[in-house]
Amino acid sequence: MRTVTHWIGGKPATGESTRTGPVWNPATGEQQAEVLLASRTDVDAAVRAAAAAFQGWSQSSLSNRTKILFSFRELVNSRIQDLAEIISDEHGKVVSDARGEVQRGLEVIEFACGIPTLLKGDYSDQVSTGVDLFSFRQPLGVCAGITPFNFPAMVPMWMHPVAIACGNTFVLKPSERDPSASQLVAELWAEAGLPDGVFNVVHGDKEAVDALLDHPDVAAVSFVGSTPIAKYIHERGTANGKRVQALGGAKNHAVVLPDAPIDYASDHLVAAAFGSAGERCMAISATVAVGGAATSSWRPSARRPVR
Amino acid sequence: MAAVSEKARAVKVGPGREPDSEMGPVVTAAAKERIVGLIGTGAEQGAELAVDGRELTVAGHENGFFVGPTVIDRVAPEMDVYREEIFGPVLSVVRADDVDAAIALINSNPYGNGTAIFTSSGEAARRFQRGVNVGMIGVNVPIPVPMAYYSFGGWKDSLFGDKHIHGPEGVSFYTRAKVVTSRWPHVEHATGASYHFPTAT
Repeated sequence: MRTVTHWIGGKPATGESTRTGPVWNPATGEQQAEVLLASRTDVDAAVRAAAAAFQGWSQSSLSNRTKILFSFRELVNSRIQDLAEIISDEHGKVVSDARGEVQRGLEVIEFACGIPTLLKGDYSDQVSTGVDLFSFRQPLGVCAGITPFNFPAMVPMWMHPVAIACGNTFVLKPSERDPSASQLVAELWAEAGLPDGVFNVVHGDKEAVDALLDHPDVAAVSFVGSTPIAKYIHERGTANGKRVQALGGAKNHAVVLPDAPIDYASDHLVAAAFGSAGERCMAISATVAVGGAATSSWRPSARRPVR
Repeated sequence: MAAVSEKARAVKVGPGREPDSEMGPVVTAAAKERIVGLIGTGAEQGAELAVDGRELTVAGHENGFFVGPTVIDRVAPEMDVYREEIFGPVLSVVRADDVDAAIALINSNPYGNGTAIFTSSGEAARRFQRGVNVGMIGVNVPIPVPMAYYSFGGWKDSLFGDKHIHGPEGVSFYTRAKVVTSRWPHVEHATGASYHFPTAT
């Protein structure tokens, strides 16, 4: 059976932990692979690799970083279908939806390509006689991303392209349910010319998460997942002096007023409720039918596909 | 209800790799069990299962983790299907008298990630977008995920921390600012000439 390994210091790594978790094929109910579950020592190895790489990467010029980001953008763009198939096999979502997910991630990479503009500082001339005042922004160090199963490519891409463009190095702990997309992403970063150790992947469960939250060399943690875990990550991470952004769950309401075009609204409600089997933090899970909207008359017309 | 129920029944459920599938399975057997259990509580607590996806099977994939699209009508805010984040293909329908009641309902929910309004009234949409305590709002757009150059994040129990993800707030999160106050006193001295562009060094 295939084993999904970590990615540390620019190459696959098996680490010391022998614990593994199953990777299912949700469409068949069968196990298709096993994923390594990192120990504290394995997480430490990844953080050390990232901390060592920070010395050089934080000093690399904006021109150099931008060149690598543009290469990475091209490589991800050329592998959308491969990424989508990997996501579909492990998450279960349809391939067209998985392609859409990669596209949204790609847009964040494109945003990060503009890093020279994004990092421009301010300058005030002659604030006192012979005195100028200016500001600039510097990277934090090693940043960690802990990401959910529902968007195994897009949510990590909300984080690592921006963090890396800013001059940080990164340790990603993706969901152990669908870990393989992150392996391909790590290979594409390397192919784009990113120095070893700037982007690392550790797979694991609570042990790996706690190791990241407690590690003194992790400066910031980005998390997306459920509300109870988001609260936990924020409390433990900030107690250890880290910057934390922890995005939690949702109950998204769509209000339908009686004057809404009912065919349009119902099409989009169904797509937003059932697309990706409702496993989206932006899924519409509650509709509020206002006034007569619930009893609007309706005749079937040509169906449009769920998006 | 008629339109949503009819369209929910028509969603083509199947393996993600089949090109005509519109919706795939949920992620694990445990997720399926949890979703099916929650749908059951809806019926027990007095809601109406307008479309029930619990019994759906996909031919050739009988062991897959499939749950069919489910629409639950006449859901009340105290029911489990309303209170829990089901994270499955389940749409609950709550009824409200007017747009202000709808805004009040949304604001009494602990989450504040996303929301949407469907209407032809610009006035109602404006009142809604200003009145809801939610981070991301769609007007006739059901899943209002912002573009990469804005930032993604909710309010209340949907975000712990100060900064949203990607966009300008992402750059702010991943960097810290220095402010330099500088004075260079006038000194008389010569420097060696250079014939390079200074930015090329």
